[in-house]
Amino acid sequence: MRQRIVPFACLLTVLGLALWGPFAGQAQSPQGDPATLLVSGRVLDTQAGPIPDVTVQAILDGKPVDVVMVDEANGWPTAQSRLDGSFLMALPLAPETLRALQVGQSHLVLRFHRATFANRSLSISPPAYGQGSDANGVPHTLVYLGDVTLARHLNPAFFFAAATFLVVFGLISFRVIHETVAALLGAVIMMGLTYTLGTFNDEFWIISFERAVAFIDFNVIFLIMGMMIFMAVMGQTGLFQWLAFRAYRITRGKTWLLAIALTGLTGVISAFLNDVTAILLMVPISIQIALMMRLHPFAFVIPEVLASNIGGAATLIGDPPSTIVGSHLNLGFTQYALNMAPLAVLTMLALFGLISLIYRKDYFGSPFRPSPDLLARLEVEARITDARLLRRSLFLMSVTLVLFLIEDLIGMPPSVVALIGATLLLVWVKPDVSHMLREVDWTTLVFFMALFILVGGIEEVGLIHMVAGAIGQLAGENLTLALLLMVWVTGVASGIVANIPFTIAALPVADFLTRTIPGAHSQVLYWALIAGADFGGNATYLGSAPNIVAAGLCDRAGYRMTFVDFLRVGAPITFVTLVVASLWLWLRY
Amino acid sequence: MGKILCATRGGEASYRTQDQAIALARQRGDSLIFLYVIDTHFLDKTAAPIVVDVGNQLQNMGGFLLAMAQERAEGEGVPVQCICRPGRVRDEIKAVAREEKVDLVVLGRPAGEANAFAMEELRAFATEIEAETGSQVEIV
Repeated sequence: MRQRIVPFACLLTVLGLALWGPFAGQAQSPQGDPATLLVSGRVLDTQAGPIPDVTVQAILDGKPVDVVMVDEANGWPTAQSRLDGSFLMALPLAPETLRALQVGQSHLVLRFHRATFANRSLSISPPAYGQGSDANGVPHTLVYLGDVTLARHLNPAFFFAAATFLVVFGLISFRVIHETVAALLGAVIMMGLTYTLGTFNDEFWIISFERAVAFIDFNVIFLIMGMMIFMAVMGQTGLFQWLAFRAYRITRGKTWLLAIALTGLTGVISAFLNDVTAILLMVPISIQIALMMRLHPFAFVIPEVLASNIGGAATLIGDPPSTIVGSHLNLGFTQYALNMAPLAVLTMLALFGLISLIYRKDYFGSPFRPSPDLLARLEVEARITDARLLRRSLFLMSVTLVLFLIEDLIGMPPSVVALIGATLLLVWVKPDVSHMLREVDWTTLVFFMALFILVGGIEEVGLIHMVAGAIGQLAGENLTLALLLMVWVTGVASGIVANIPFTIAALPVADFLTRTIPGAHSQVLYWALIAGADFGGNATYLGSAPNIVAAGLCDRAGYRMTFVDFLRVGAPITFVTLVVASLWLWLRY
Repeated sequence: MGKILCATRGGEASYRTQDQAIALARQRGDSLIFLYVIDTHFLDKTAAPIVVDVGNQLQNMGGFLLAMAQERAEGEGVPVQCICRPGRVRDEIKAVAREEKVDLVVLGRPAGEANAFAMEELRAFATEIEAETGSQVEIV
């Protein structure tokens, strides 16, 4: 049934377009041109994904025919497909030429071309010509081609893009150079190659500037920017250090309870603020509390790091993979939280159990009575530094959270909510704006933009298509297998390489599997991707940014965290949390 | 009364160096300066949003670690001054040695592979300090 509806709908679209827009003027002018031939269709890849920017050239009896552009003027006499792969072209022909085509005396061939795809030519046979008319009753001859599939073609651009991506991925994952510089370098190499060698030979064409910009998800960029302004203001209030010290007071120095409180607090903070920020705020005070209690700081710090990665999965704004996937799916804050928050809570409970077991000697040993001087010093340090600022920022944070909760109802993108909240904060709190805007970490925003371009490059040349195809073959039509693959491949990979570029690169794979596997429309594979990326980042020291930052902070306190120190705790906890995630997703979806 | 400078952080390796510096100060009748250097360069390769005043966070932590060291020294009856300042560790050790006209700089011996200075490098650094500041250096 669907197969019949789609061509019919496309035909209606063709007619609709003929009645409207820049083309309408051409089709009707001056009294309409009955010899105009309209050709439409959709260009897809072998995985049924739309291919934009495909050049469609018309050849009549071996000679190119001028084409009236219906969409953007991208060249003459060719037409190019749009983002959804569709194209609509008008061929102004002499009436006798059109009649010759309809009776088979002339021959029309459409040639489809795009770099990284094999060229394809389609011959239009007489039965394909149909008749239609516009609102003024002016008749047109129509050809609806349906879906035209182009196969991928491995060319030098593919290998250059793949090599660039892999090198940059390595540079980012192993912190060889600054992540932003690495991502920018990759993006520049891909675009630079496109506009140098690619200009002369499209076998080297990777990604155009326009396509590169189209790959950047500005919802993610502005959401992160808005939340950064919030973090910069709230970080000045001393709230989180105060909460950590209150936790010490309330638990009366009972180590296990304190560890659970600090771990839980970090998880909750990470759900609403960026996880690295949560670590930068919580770890220094936690190290001091641990040292005051004569505990090894890792007994507090490592569980906090693990909690920050888990808590970040709970909300749309908690962690970059969450933000990236949520934005890709156009999810609102509530929709996202309804799906992921229960899993994050469940996983956090598992974390509490596991750290109690792993650190039992630290947590259940006899407590040490701290020196009164050190305690007094810590209390002074952990005070609220600006109560007025805190009241205002908490009020606006609440308003922003309410907006996040109702954004689905009013159709407001999360980035707009974050920007509204942050701007109101700047207006009301009146901080030194230039100082506050300097606090926005522009390198992070550039990092994300460059990463989107980098992944766009490998998507353009077909690398992601190839990986998706391989995973698709492995999973077949088995949703459970696809789910497990998504959770565990992402989880293991995120423990070894940086999870942000991995998530961006894995999104088109999730798209493909969701499109092709029956039952995957519940979006379960996207949840699996987030769970794998966030929880998998806990496996090793290199898995995510909070781990590295926490290790750096510990090092500054004289406690060097080695790869093995982290792995010993992180790996078993990651294993259990990925099992919990797999079971939960399998049972719920 | 002379001055002994001991750059410190926390952790077992630092406690050993602190104890040696305290013992030397007692033995020589000198006062002791504990130095904590706030070095945020570990964030240089991370593109995570660093919107928190990390320097301030580390200053608090450094102050706390110095207070712990001070407690240990004062417990041994050694007068102590604590300095917490931002910069690179090597540069700041030399700068403080010059500014405070320090007689002796105490450097901790590398403890396994975890120490930032390999022994060879540490000796070279000691020579550098002596040449640039005129202070004596003792590796403990």
